[in-house]
Amino acid sequence: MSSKFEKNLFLNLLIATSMALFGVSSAHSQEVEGGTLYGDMLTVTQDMLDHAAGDSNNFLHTNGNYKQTRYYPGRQINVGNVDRLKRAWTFETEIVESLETTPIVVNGTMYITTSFNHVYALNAETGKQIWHFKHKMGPITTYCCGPNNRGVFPYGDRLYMGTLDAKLVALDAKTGALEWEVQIADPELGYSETMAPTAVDGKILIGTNGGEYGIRGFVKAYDANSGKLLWTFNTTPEKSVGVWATKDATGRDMLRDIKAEKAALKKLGDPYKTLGGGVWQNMAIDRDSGTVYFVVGNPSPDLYGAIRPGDNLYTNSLVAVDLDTGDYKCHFQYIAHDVWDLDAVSPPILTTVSDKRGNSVKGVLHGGKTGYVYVHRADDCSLIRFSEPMVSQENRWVLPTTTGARMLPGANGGVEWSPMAIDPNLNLAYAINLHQPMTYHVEETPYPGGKLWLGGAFKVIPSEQQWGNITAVDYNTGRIKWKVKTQQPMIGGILATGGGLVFTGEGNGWFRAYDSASGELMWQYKASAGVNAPPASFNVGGSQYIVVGAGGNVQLDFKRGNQILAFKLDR
Amino acid sequence: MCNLISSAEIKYSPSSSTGRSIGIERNPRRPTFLGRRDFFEAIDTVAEPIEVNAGQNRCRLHARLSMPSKYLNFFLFLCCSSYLGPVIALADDANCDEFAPVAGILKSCEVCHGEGGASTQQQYPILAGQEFYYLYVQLKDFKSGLRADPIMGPLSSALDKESMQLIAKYFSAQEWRDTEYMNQEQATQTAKSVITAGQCVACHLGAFHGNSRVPRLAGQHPEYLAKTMLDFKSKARQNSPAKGSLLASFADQELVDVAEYLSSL
Ligand code: HEC
Repeated sequence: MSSKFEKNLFLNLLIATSMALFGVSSAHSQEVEGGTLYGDMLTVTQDMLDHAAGDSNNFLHTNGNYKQTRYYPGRQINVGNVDRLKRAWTFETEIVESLETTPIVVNGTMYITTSFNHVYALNAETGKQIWHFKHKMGPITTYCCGPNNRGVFPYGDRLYMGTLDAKLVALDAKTGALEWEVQIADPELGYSETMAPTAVDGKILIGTNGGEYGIRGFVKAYDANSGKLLWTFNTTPEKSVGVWATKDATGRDMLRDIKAEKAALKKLGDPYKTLGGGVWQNMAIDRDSGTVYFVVGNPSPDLYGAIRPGDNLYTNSLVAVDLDTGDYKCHFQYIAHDVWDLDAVSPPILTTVSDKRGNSVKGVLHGGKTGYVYVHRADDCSLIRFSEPMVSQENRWVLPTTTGARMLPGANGGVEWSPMAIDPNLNLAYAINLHQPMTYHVEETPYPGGKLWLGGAFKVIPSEQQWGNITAVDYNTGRIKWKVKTQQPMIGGILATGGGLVFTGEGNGWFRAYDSASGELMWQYKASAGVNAPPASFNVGGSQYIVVGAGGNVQLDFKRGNQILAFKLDR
Repeated sequence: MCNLISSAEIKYSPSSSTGRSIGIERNPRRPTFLGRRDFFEAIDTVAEPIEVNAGQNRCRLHARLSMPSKYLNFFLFLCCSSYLGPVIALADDANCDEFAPVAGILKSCEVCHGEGGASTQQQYPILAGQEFYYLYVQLKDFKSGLRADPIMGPLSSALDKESMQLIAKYFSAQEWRDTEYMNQEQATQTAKSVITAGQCVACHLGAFHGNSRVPRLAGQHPEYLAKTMLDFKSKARQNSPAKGSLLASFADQELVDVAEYLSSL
C-alpha cells in the first residue's frame, strides 16, 4: 500500500467522521469527492435524502434526488480520463431475466433488485454479497411487460419495495429480513408493482401498473413505520370526461368522433372505474411547496376507445398533488382519449427553466412516448413548450383499424419508461429513444375482468428497420442540441455526471459514455447481455464508480442476463 | 410422501421436484422463476384470494388444534415436504393427502390428459407442470362457457372453486415431461417473424415457460397449440380477448408454424 493511499485513507476517515457528526448535509452545495468509510452508517435520514443532489458518495434515489435529475455531481471520472474506465467487479444474480434496477448506494452498501423481486445487498467496493432476499410471490400475478423490478428505496433503517403481486414490503436494511408487507391492490384484477417507491416525510409513495387490464390507477401514500395507508389519489376521477379536447399537446388533430363519444357517454356513463391510468414510475417532489409530480399512463382498453367516451382524465397526463393530503393541485393532459398507448411514463424532472418570456421559473420536464420533451410550469402544470420531435413522426394520429394502421412512434413510444437525465449547467435534457414502427389494430372488446384488455393489438413490423437515439434537448429553447443514432431501439435509462459525461446502455450489450455537451462517444464496454437498466454512480474508498445492470429486456426481447457491472478508473 | 392415487407411476412430489427450482438450479431451459417450493409456500402461507382447503382427510387432527386455516395449510405443506423425514412418516401414517377430495376426479382427467397430466396424445394438452393460476382460470372459463368446449364444458360444470384450485394445484406441481418434438427450419423462420411481430415473449417470457396467468407453451403438443390458436382467431375460444385480436391478424399457416416451433422448444 503506497503512503499516498494511506494518506487518502486518513483523509477519508476524517471526512467520514465529520459527515457522521454533521449528518452528511455538508454535501449540500459543493461536492464531496473523498470516499466515505462504510460501516454501520446505513441509516438514511431525511436530511441525506434532501441533499442527495450534491452528495457524490451515495446514490439514494432511483433517479438521483427528489427532483429526479439523474445528475450525479462527482467528477472524478470525466471527459479527460474516461478512456481509463475499467470494470472493477461483476456480480451475478440468481435470476436471468430483464434487469431494470437502479442500484442504490448507501455509504458503501449497494442494494439491487431483479425480476421476480429478489433483493441483494452488496459491498459496493467489491461486489461481494452481504445478503439476499427473495420475496415469497403469491400464485397470482398479472403484468403486461415483464416480471421486472426497478429498485428499492432506502429510508431510515429500512428498504422499501413494490412487488409483482402488488404488495409493498419493508425490509431491514442491515439483514434483509422482512419487517412487514401490505397488499396494495388485488393482482387478480390486474394490479402489479414494478416501480421503486419514493419515501419522504415519513411516507412511502407508490403508484401501480395495470393500464392494460382495466384497473383504476392511483398513487398511494403509506406510513413508513406501520405500513398504514395514509391517502390515495385516484388517477381516474369520477368525472373523467374533461373538455372534449380534439388536439394533442403539440397541436395535432387526434381525429376524435366527439359526437359518437357523447352518445356513448349517455348510454354507458362515465368509464372511470375500469379506465386504467397506471403510474409506472417515480414521482418528483418539490420540497419547498410540498408538491408531488407524476405522470399517468394510458386508458384501458388501450386501443378501443368507443367504450370509454371522454378525455379519460387524468390518463396521459402530468399531475401534481399535495404531499400531505394527496389532494389534486393541477394537471396537464398530453393526449385526450388516447387510442395508441402513447402515454406518459418516463419520470418527470424538476428544474429551473425559462418561460415564454425568458424569465426563470420552476419547471417540470417530461419525455413523452410521443417522442417530444415537454416543458411545464411547476406552479400550474401548464405547458411552456415542447421540443422538436426526437423521433420521426409518421402518420400520427391515424386511427387504429381492424386490419392495422401503420404509425410512428410505435406503441413502445419514442421514449419508453426510461428515465431522462439533465445537466443543469448546460440546460440539456437527455432522452433515449425508439424508432419502432407498428401497426395498430382495433377490436371491440368488453371488460374481460382482470385479463389483458387491449381492445385490439399492436404489431411490430418485422420487415422494417428499427433503431434508437440518444438525444440532448435544450429545454429552454426546445431545440435538439445533439443526437446519436444506435443500432437498436433504446430502453433503460441514462445518467449525467459532473464529469461532463452521460452513460447509457443498449440492447446489444454496449454500455457507452458520451460527452454531455457534444454527444461525442468517449468510452464503451461490451456486456454479455442487454444493458437496459438506468446507470448510477457513487464514491467509496476514494474511488468513483459507475454501476449498471446487464440483464436485457423482455419487452424488446433483448438478450437476457444476470449481471451487475461496476466500473472505476484504472490508476 | 403424499401419494395421490394408487398407481405407483404417478408421483405427486413437489418437494422432490428439484429440477423445477429454477433460479436455484440454474436450469438453462427455465432460466427464471421461483422454485416450486417457494410457490407452494406462497400459496399456503401468503395468498389470500386462493386459499386451498385441506378438505376431508385425516389431517383434520391438526385442524382440531384450531389453527387458523392459513397455518393449517402451511402445516399441510410441511407434511408433504420431504425436507422433514420424520414428519413424512407421520404424514404417511395419517394418510395426509391434500388431494384426497379430488382424487376420483383427477383419475377421470387422466384418462385423456395422461398420468399426472403428462398427456402423450396430441389433442389433449399437457397439464403437468402448467402454471397453477392459468389452469384454475381455464377450468373456471370452461365452466362459465367463456372457453366453450364440448368435452371440457360438461366435465367442469360440476366442479366448485375449491376443487378447481386443488386440481390446478395438483397438475401444476407435476414435472413437465419433455416431448422432444422437432420442427422444420421453414416453420422456425416464419414462427420467429410472427413472434417478433406479436411481441409474444413480453408475456410468455423468453423461454415460453409462462408465469401465473400466462401459460407455458414450450414443449406443448403442436396439434393442440395450433387448434387453440386457430380457435382464438375464429373466436371459438373467447377467454382471452387480447389474444383473439392479435392472432386474428396472422394467417392460419403462420399459426401452425408457430405451434410447431413452440412445441420444439
Ligand atoms: C375426454 C377427454 C378429456 C377429459 C376426460 C378431460 N379433458 Fe381436459 N381437455 C380435453 C381437450 C380435448 C382439451 C382441449 C380443449 C380445447 O381445444 O380447447 C382439454 C383442455 C383442458 C384444459 C386446458 C389446458 C390448456 O392448456 O389450456 C384443462 C385445464 C383441462 N382440460 C383440465 C381437465 C381436467 C381437470 C379434467 C378432469 C376433470 C379434464 N381436463 C378431463 C380433453 C379432456
